[in-house]
Amino acid sequence: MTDTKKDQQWLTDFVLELSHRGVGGRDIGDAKASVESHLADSGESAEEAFGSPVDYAQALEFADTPDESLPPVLLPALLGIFGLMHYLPAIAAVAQGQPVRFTGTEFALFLVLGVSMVLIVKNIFRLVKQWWWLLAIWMAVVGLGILASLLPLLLDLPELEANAGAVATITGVLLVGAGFWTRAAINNSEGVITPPNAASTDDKDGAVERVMVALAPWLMAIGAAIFTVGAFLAA
Amino acid sequence: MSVLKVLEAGPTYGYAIATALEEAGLGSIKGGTLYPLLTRFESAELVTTQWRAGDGGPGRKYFSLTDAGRSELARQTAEWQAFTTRTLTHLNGDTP
Repeated sequence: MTDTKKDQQWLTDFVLELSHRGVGGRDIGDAKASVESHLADSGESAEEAFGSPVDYAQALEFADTPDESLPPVLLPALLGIFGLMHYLPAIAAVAQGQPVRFTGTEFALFLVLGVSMVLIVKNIFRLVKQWWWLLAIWMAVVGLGILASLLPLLLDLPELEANAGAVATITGVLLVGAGFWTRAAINNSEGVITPPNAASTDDKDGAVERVMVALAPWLMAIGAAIFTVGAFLAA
Repeated sequence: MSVLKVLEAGPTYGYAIATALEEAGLGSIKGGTLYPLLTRFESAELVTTQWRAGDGGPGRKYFSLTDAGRSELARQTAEWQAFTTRTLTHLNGDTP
């Protein structure tokens, strides 16, 4: 059985590499279950039986053509971030009974985050395997974020004033809409599908995974709701 | 070819195929070698697959030879026999 941490890490790397190649959820689930089954029968470690997870993933040739497009949750995630970035200052302004002010910094930050997300999604496996890539992107995002925040002060940019209630309502709707869109995208995507009869009878991962999948689309909306309560309590 | 030959006897799973090959004196076949081959057979429709529930552990993926797989086995066996005949003839110094 794949009980050791090393084998679990091997399986994670294997699934990540297959996902990175755009292999479909059914094929990934089947290949992962085949490895688990073989390890249970042979008593070998994953590294011993299959070698490197990356090399093994690359050796498998599936009948279905890998899908190399961007994941379908990317667009709703970007919409949610856009909504959240404008909802937070707007609802804080509503709580204080003031209009909300934008300088364009928010749009710049959104662009930085959007580009970063696309880069991260396209290079996820390299980022997981080589932490300095993740650190480099993180530093670039933070650096550009700080620059975008300081630019209005340095350049003395004019502020755009808007009705905080209207902005909070519109961006709140965007946030909830992004949640529904994300949920639909998750429902339409396969994920890793374990073949029927392949799972071990004592498989305990299902319940946790289901809760995580159910919560994921609403994380930004939940965060916004908590911030809203905090903003009104602090006002 | 040897993998297809093991499957000729009936549906079986990966580890059992590796064990059968080892018992036949063909050496230890690692999963990293065997499963990519089985996946190619599956893509080429030389085998069909079926997951069967495991007994307290994970299930097992059973591979069955298709008609195309039997034809491929027959073709590769004939080619191999022709090759070994030619090679033996050459090694023995006989003229074909």
